[in-house]
Amino acid sequence: MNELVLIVEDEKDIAQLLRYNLQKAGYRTVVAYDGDQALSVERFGKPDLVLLDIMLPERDGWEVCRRMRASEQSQATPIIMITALDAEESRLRGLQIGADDYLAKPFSVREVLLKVRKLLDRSNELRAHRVHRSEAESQISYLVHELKNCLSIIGGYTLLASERDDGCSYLERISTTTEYMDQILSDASILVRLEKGASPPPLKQFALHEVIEETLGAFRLTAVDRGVILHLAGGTGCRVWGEQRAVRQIVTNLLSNAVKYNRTGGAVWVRIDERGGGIDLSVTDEGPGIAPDQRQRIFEKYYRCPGSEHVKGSGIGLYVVKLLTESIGGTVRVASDKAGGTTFTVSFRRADDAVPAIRSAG
Amino acid sequence: MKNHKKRILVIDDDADHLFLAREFLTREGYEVLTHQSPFGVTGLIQAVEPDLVLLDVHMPSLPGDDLAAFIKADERTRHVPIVLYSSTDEDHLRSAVVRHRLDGYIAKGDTADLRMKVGYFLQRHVCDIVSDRRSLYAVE
Repeated sequence: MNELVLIVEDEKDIAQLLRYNLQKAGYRTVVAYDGDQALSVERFGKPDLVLLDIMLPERDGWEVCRRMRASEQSQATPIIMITALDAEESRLRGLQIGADDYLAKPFSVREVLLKVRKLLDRSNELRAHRVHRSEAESQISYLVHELKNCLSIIGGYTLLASERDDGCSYLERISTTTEYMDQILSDASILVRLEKGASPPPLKQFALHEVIEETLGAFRLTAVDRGVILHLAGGTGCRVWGEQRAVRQIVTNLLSNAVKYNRTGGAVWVRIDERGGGIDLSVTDEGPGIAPDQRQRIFEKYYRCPGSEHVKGSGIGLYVVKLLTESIGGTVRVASDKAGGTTFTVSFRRADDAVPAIRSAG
Repeated sequence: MKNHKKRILVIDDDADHLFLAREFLTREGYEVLTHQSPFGVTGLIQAVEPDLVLLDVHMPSLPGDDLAAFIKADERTRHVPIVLYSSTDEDHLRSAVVRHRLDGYIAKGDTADLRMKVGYFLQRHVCDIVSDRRSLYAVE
């Protein structure tokens, strides 16, 4: 929708001139002939910019400007004061109480249009910046909340453990919670790094099998705790292009999901397959599976599947998997069976091929 | 004056938080009931008649402040004191308390604070009831 300009001017011919030319330039306009009208139009019409004459019946331009700046809704709305020629005193006063620019009568139409456009551009830019910042802040506060929750659990169990001699099972829960915190923190820092557009890690060639085995080893205890068995098959000797730390985090996040969302006594199958031009790493669980419409959204930031509320999660694990996979030139996809079970597959470039092109993370 | 143990109902979607709240409040001599879902709460309140409800705010399926609004909107449950119990930003908690006319909030994480404030809210509610009655009698 076109931007709305409020013209506050008691001299009808000047108001008409401004209105005609602004409309011709594509703006929507509304005219107020005195200060009271100006304030009520301003309040309900929410103009994007105000052209404000100073000498007005009822409340004068100073008063209108002051009131606009005092209200939350219009404190950032650009205001151009219309003053008499050479009235330096008025111009200074206007700028002091919060006007953004001024026009001295008589003004040229081109000058008006230029100033209006310039101020609107700047104000749009500021607004976009504010929105962006508040989104970023709410995401950060979400993560902080998640961490604080964990900390309060740690604090509680630690207290219980320290009061008892046989605090072993409590201490175990402390360490599980700590591990979870650790994972959120790693995900969060990777996310911030990659989203900020940091350059991706330099790619190396390495044996995929070794990194996977190492990560599986770290997961064995958690899996046993939940009665889940981990299997690894295939791929000895497969070398890929990538970066070990990124691959470790990708596998960690996929395994963590596969264990979390598995059935009790279920299994996780990790397979390395040579396929066409590349090497596929797949992680399959025996959980309830993911519905098709959710599968499309599962890599979105903070998306969590309906029905998974009872399982702890920050909603960034798979998003980070996607960012990381793309940062090392791979791709990730998900497949799920109606009967249950979900498979995540990460495709790597084979090490003897040329260095893969990296898609930008943004 | 009833002489039973004060009964506290704790509502949270996190089993660990429920376990800890039960552990710490039971030691204080309260009877603690827990419920791991925002659903069925108004019915539960009528069934068990708690002296105080501790309510988590950050439940995914139904945020605690919305749930608090339901409880306060239902005349069968609105007399029960509701205290938000959450790690959410304290500004948010404060404004939710004012908005839904709740009895207060307790920030999660500090066990000593939990014990002290639960005692305070139970005490205050008794005082409020007494002073409400007094003003009623005065009008009559």
